[in-house]
Amino acid sequence: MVFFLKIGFRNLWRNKRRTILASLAMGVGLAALILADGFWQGMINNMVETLTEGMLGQAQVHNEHFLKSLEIENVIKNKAVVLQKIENSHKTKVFTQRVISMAMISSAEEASNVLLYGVDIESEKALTVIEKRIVEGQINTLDGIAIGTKLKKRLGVQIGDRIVITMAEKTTGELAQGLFRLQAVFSYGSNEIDEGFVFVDRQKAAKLLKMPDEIHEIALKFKDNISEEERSTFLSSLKGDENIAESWKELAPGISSAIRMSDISTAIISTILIILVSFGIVNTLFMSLYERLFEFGVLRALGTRGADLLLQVVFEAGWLAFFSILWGIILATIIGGIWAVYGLDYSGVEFAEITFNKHIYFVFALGQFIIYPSLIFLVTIIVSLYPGTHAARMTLSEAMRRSL
Amino acid sequence: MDEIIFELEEVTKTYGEGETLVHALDHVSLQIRKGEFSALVGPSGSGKSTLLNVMSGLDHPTSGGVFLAGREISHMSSNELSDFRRDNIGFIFQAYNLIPVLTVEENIEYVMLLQGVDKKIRRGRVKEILEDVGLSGKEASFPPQLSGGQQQRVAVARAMVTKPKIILADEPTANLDSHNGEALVELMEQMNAKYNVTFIFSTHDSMIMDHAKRLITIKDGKIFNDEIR
Repeated sequence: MVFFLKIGFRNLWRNKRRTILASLAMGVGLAALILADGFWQGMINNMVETLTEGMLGQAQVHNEHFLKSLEIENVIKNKAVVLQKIENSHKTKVFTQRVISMAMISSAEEASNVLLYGVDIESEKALTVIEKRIVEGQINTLDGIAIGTKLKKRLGVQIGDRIVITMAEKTTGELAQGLFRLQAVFSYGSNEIDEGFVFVDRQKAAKLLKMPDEIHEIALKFKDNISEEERSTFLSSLKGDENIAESWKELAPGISSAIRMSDISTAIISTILIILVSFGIVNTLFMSLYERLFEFGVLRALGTRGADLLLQVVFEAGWLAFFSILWGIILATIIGGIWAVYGLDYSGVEFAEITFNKHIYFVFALGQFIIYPSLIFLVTIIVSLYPGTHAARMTLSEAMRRSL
Repeated sequence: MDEIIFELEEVTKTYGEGETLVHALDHVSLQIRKGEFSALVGPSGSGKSTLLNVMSGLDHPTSGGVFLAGREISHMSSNELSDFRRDNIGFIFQAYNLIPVLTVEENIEYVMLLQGVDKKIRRGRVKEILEDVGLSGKEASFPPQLSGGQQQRVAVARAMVTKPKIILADEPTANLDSHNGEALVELMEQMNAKYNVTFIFSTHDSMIMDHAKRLITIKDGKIFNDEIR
């Protein structure tokens, strides 16, 4: 066995140029697999971060009827109990309360429909990236109103200008109006948010809506070490009294589907690359085999059994896979390493309703360097059985007649 | 006289069919005794190589029987034939046909390795046979580092090292100059004398014919003449 391994190794390097080119081609294929995987992981991380650092958080609590219609009477029931559970839990890192209402915003020039968020600015800043998205003004405290860049342009207003918000009161449905000064302008890079969302202080919004001490939404983030299962159990404990608690995956099913789709895409790309790599292996081995037909004949004549000849071809293929994997891992580590440090600028690119506003960084995972190389090795060994069997079954007298 | 070690009984080998049918061997019967130093001679296409292939089990006869050391080899399975060749037949080819990626030592011990001979014994036998063929000290050399004559000596050593019952040599001097050819034939003669191993050559070389103790002339797939000297 060791002797055949040695023969396989030496045979592989008989034609150095061909072996280097073939193993490099396979190595590039492997590196492409690893890099594609790391890119998808990076993109998913980026999407999830963008999503959960935005308005969504990692989970939200609502009245079960609220999200369907955004009717303001659908407030969270037994708010105090729910908040106590969240406050007392060691699983949550930060949470914030919100009042949400459809509203009409108007300036001296223009009016527009918006979704008004009444927020507690301190906890909102802790939960989301709202502070980082401010491009004009400031929100150290929120006395006025914060609107998006696109809405600002539409309304034709500047910082300090007066803006009127009109909403329907909760109990009577009567129109209520509030006057705010434009305090800050944000840019999330998303048309939906930058044109359609506005932020005011929660207490002020609740007062206007005549719903003091009531809220529509609690958004929260978990501590980093809390598992999916623990998160799910905790969210289940918040349900009841018409209240529902959902993770970001349930709140943004489109993103979950996109992530699943990316998994399928990765699998398809992997399959195509592995098929291409296996064709390369078969081609290389057959070229090598036909060059050495007479030699195989000699080995058979000396008493080598067909199975031993098959083993020699398989070992040669195994070595080819070994060097290919080596090149592939080195290449993927170098490129992935650079990518992991500097990232790729995808700012402004939208995918699955998410606008990337950060670089996408390559994500290293041990599995990439175990699963894909193992797959390449396994496929190489399996496909080498074809030329190997061909060598083992060749007609001896014909092989002995063939020479280059 | 020594025992009959090799026997062909009415061996026929045909290729093609109908109008393209060719009789490469036509009812050939032959007996080879242990220790013989015989040469198969004849013009190109006469059937020498086919006969050698059939004798070695590299090719199956269309009809007839091939017996080596009392065993019928013409109907053996592929694996049985491999094992049988490994243990009973040594080969020397025209173009040396050493395995270029193996050292001289590894080339010679290859068959013993297939036989499962212990490493220490293998290395001892390699050392001994290399002394016999005058290549001591070349153990670690690779075939491309040797001259044609030296490579053919290694091929002789590889064929001899397991002490097979018979050595089949296909044009062994064809790629050598006259000096190296003469030296090789003398070496094989010495091996034949020392170990009483049977040699059968397929050759056009008059030098081998001169040294052969028996000259079997093949013509049109038949034994045309069989001369014992």
